Amino acid sequence: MNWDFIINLIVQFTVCSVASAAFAIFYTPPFRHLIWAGITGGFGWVIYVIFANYGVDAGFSSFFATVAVTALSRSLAFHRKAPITIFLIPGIIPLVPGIAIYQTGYYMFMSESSKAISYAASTFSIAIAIALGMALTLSLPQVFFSFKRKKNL
Amino acid sequence: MSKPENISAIELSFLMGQILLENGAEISRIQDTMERVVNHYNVENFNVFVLTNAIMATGTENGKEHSAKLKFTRTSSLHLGRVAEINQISREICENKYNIEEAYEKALKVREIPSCKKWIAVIAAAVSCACYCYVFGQQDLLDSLAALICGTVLQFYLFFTEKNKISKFIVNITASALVAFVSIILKETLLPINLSPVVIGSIFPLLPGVALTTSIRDFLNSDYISGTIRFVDATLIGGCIAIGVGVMIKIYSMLGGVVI
Repeated sequence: MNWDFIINLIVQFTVCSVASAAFAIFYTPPFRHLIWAGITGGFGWVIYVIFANYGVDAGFSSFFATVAVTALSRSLAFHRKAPITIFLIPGIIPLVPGIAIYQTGYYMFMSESSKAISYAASTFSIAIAIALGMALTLSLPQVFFSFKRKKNL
Repeated sequence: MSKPENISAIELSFLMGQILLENGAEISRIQDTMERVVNHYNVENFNVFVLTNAIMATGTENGKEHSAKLKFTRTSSLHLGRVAEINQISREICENKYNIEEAYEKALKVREIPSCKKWIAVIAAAVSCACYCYVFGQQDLLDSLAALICGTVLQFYLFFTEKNKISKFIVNITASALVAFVSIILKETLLPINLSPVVIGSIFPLLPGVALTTSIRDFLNSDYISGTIRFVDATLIGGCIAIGVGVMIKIYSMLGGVVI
């Protein structure tokens, strides 16, 4: 952990937040939540980068990033009184295995089937990691994210 | 719309459920919202069953039995603004702010919230492609510029397909091929870019992130049928993108190009 890495993280956070907020515009969320939706995206990506930087594989990094994103979305949903979807989707989008899908297609057509299969497996493992991370965090009691209401509407 | 009169609570909850379904809310939220609304207005024996493309509901209100069903909503594109607004209405109903007619009118108004304007969508697509490309690639500004162009082209192509009602699979295959094609052209003619990050950044608007997220949430709430429908959807879209990009890159490498 040196300064270059931290500065790099801040840059990535900013850029990814802008990207997620811009992406969220497609789904026309209420304008007042847009900034937070972006921040959720940037936050998840930074967590992912930190784990990946320490050599954790893509599946596990995605898992931890998803847990972070979902927890942040839940508390935002509570404190800003909005459906959790508004924050969850822009948060998850950067973690969706776009790179792995690309590599799968690439190697499939380059006739390197063993690499193609390994990337396809990686795609699925990331998807499942996201699923598990979200499952875990969404099924925790709301108490962890708030102190008043019982359930998110 | 004429001013609604004698609306039953079931009709109100049904309208709200329908709007939620059309705008891509997850199943349990729809069920939950509908139940909250009818419980507030003392409907008895209320039962509701929701799938990704249908709602069925019955209940007894003032001694009279109502039943309602929605057959099919084909397009459920995500519109978070409307979901949030319906959410807000159901919250306010539970706080006793509206009677049924007022709530019904409010819900009808939610339907008229416009989708995102086209030029805004184009700018949003371009910016998000450029930023994702920057983050995922080697943090090269030239790459981002290329992704900006690809994203713009992609969004115009998506508008074109939307207008002409082309099948979803063809749209995904051709759109991802188009992205790869444009970035190859850019690489060969104008800019010395890295191909992979540009393509990865630019296919982002196509990726099934929403389908995946909603599918997982449906699974978690034990709505297995809806979850499966959306998961299959996500997998097929992913496959289509891989095929579209792969074909283009294969052709490019057969013509002697070097993919980095």
